[in-house]
Amino acid sequence: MGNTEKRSLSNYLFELATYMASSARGCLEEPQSYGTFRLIDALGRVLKIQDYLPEAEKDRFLEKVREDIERNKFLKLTNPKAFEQFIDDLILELAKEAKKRSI
Amino acid sequence: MEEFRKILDAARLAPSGSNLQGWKFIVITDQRILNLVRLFSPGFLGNAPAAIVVCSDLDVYEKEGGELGKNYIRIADCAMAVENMLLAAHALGLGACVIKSFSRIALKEILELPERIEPEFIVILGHPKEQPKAPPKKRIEEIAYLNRYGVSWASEVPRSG
Repeated sequence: MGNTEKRSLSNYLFELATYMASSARGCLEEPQSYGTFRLIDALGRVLKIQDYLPEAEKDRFLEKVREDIERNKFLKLTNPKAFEQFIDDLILELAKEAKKRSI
Repeated sequence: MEEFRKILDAARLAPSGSNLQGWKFIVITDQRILNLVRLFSPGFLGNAPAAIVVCSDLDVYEKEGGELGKNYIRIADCAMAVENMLLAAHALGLGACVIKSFSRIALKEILELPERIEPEFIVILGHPKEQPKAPPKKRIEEIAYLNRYGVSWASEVPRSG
């Protein structure tokens, strides 16, 4: 998952499955805050599926969400308070966006 | 491979409870195997090109170390070896990170570990592109006391002269 070269969508989904299943098992024993990090990291990885869509079908808002996650996820390690604030800000942005969309 | 030898040498010289030395080390340089390990290790962030999996031999710790060996010395030994490895890697100019977040079942399958050999830690290694920001650390005064718990370390430090 860490490599930058593009693999097939099915391979990407397979790798996503390994990450999420391993993370789920880890959440039973690891510190609670790890689960938060894994979910945010997994969200970024899920949103990366957009890379497989034609350009016209990509959701720009979700692309920005992914970029924000990549930029901020390691705050968990260096500045937990800022990480918490980042997640709150992300949820607020999602809520504002949800109100605009016909969901 | 010379760098690995030096890191492994540092590991084997680490302190060991009852000198049991029931540790085993698997150096991974094969990128396919490394990628398989990465897939099942959520704590494996980034693209380190090599790793050393630190394992414990349950037979050694259970048979020769008793309950203490099985429950505590086994982990402490591997942790002390890991610390030596991290220091050796740093001295060699390498970047290193210790990982505990991995699927032990998957690792045992991928690395073909015998039933009684347990993966305890992964140390990933590489040449760092940048100096990462250090995580916040507690001050000595927050964690150390003088003679009795709770007595300020700083207030009773003997003054010289």
